[in-house]
Amino acid sequence: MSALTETYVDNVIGHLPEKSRADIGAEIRATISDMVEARLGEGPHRGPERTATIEREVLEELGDPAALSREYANSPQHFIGPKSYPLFLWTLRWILPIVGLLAVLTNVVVTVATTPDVQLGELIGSTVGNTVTALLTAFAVITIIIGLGDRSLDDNALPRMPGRQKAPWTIDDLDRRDIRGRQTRAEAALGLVFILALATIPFIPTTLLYVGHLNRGGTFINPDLGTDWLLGYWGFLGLLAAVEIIRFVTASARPTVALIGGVIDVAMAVFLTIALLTQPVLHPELTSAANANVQQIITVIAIWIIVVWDQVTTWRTVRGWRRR
Amino acid sequence: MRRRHWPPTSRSCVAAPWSSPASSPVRRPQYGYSLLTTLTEAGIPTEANTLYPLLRRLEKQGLLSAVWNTEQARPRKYYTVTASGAEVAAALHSQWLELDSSITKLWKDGTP
Repeated sequence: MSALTETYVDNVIGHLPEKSRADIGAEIRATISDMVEARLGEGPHRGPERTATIEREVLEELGDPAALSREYANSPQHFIGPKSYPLFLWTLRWILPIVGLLAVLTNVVVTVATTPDVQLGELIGSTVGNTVTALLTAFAVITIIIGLGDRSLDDNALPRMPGRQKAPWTIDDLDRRDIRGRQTRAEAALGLVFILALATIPFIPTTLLYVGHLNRGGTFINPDLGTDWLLGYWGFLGLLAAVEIIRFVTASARPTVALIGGVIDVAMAVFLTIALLTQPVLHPELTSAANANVQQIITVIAIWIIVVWDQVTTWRTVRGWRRR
Repeated sequence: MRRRHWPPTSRSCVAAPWSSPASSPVRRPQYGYSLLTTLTEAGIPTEANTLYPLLRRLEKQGLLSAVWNTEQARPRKYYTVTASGAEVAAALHSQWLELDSSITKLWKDGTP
């Protein structure tokens, strides 16, 4: 199977539910092989050039992978009216991210500029609330405008509308970017942001989360915690960050890298468990002396739940990669 | 990918109250491309991007059953009409015949 066909199949299954991707992908590959083979059999010779030409013909006959994907997804496409549906989708894809970004930026700037003592919780709460309101309002406005316009839409204007295929789909329109690679890169970038956030925990003041009065704005972490423990913590985070950087650079979820990441993950969980069970890791003034042990154990349980969940998601990603 | 064993059980291929014989192309297990060829030869040219998603929907509705045959050089997914699929097909076939008969009668009578 050529790289072109693999790219085409990836484009079809990229937006389908994870559980159905392998089956649908295998069937499309088999179909393409059958169609290519049948047409090769009709001709006098089977050179690589002729095979490549026929493969392009077959893929163009199967058509736009996005359209084929929608057929497989079988999701209703008439929410706004079939004529305006491509315009509706196109508008949502362009307008909603812009509205969301503007809402977040505006809210952060206004809150920071108008609030003397900004609390992180307040900032997050107001930003999420206002952004959701802005997105819902934009969605409603777009739906109403396009819905009303759909009633008086001139059929002659349809081909000129944004979001519509201007001409029959050809293989030159195929999105050649590696969809799985992009997904892996996005996950790795998100992982790096998460690791960076974890690395800053020892420095975060309690005033950011409404509990500053408990320890007069100190950190969440016990200031008497040994430097070795902190260096160990950052060391493990550094190793995890290295794994994510490798995933980002190679854009692949190779089993070896996933295995190394999993081992580091578990080793770090063991390290944190030992740290939490042998000394007060959280700031003593934040924990109730009577329930300090219970709080430490709850923290350990939470850590292991996250680790197990991480292992499961990593294993599922690797399994999806190996099916390719 | 989870693949069921080949060949499929005979339960899905028999005991359907349909008038076509058991050896009919629509009753034999067929893979997608062979169905496309069968339909084209029968004068119903169908596009692959229409047929395959449709087969999957019919499979989800329990009207078709499907198994992967991995014994050949090229793995293929074979579809077979289930008992309930055969019932639905028989009902549709019967409706089609009635409609065909009515249209023919109207045509003979000079309408339209």
